[in-house]
Amino acid sequence: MNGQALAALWILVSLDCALMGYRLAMGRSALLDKRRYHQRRSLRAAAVGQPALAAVTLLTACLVAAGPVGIDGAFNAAMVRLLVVAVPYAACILATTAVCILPSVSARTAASIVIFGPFTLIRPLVVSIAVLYAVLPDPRWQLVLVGFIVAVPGVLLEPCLDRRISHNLLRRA
Amino acid sequence: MLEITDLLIAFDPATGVRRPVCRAEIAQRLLAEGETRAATAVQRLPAVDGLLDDDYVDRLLVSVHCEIQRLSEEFRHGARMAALIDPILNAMRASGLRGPYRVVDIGCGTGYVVRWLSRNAASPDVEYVGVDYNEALVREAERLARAENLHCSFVAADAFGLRDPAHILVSTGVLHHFPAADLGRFFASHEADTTVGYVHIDFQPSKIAPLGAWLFHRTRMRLAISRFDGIQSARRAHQPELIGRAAATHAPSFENWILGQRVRHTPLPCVLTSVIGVRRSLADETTAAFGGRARALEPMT
Repeated sequence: MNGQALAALWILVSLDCALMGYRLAMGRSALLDKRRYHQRRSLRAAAVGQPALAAVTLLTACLVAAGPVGIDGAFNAAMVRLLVVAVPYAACILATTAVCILPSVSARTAASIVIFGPFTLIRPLVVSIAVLYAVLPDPRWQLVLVGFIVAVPGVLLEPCLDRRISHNLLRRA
Repeated sequence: MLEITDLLIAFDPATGVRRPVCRAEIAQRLLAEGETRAATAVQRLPAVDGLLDDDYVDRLLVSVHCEIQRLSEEFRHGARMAALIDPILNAMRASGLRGPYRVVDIGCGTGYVVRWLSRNAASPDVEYVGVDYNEALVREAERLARAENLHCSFVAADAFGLRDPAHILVSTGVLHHFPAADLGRFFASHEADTTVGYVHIDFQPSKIAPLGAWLFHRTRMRLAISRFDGIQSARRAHQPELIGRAAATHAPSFENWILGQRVRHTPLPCVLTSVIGVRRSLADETTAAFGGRARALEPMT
């Protein structure tokens, strides 16, 4: 498999997990100073994502090893196509994060509302498009299987966790 | 237009005691307004014999306020408030009025603004007090203040009936909860002898406000009630002119101003607008304390 594309995907998914942890933590603590709380939640989500990432990578390696001739190239091409969609999205998020380091509070607020808000809203769509764009040009069952395993948690995991955490908070006696 | 959180709790106006709330009744009120989704959200709330479960409602309101605090954080309600009450406090000091000066936040919820002020704008001659009718929110505000070792207090009471009354009354996102007809009564309550000034910050209605509110709440709020109420807030906000007229008419011993109707040097409406007032005897000292920013104060007549 293409090591560089795999490494890039690994970094992007880890970053996505960290941001998911951050989003899940947002709005759950009303303390004034919650930077460490958010950092811990982000790191924890990134760490929890690692075994899942390793499992998908292992599955892909097994499918490549057991698959027909050319399946290796098909997976490499699919990874590159996935990156074509995911990298610009991630770049926008990272650029906005960089704006948030600026000392101007107005710039931070504007970046948060104008970029983070809409980009969070379209994230499930971006994940779906990225996986479809990666798989559809060469829809072998091995690619479809891995694409499905990536897309379903990519789209559904966050809302499910969100709902569960909210439910638990409200049910707590 | 109704907000769900306004309907979930009811108090006896005479005794201040909490009354049971019938779930079907508030769902019906929302349906009558055409708010089907809001009615569905209410119908999903747990009830016993048709009455809402008070404990659950309290936990829900704490969660809703915790989410809504994100709005206060992103729009810097604490810093905005500090920038507006500072000139009034300075005018009070300059005029020889003795402290401690009591700043009372009306409808403080979980006390974000009071806690922010007590951490970032603390002064030996200023007391910060948060007041809300809801005891659960007040308990949560006290817990949060203790957790961060903040010197401020919270009371479950009527902000205009405190044993130690306010010198400066403040609020954020509260004015739109009053029907237009009740704004006059609200400002008339400022005429109490002890009140020297007030600052009320609220949303400003505009054509783009509902879209902005939808986007903000859709992406940042996870509870259906937070989302619905947040968007309703933008829709039901009062025009600054209406607030201005109510203040000028019913708080006549105050010099009243509006701040922040337009983004500087542009025709764009600000998301938030502030209504500020001080006793006429302190008006000159206050505008002097505002410095160059006083040019942006629009007198309300």
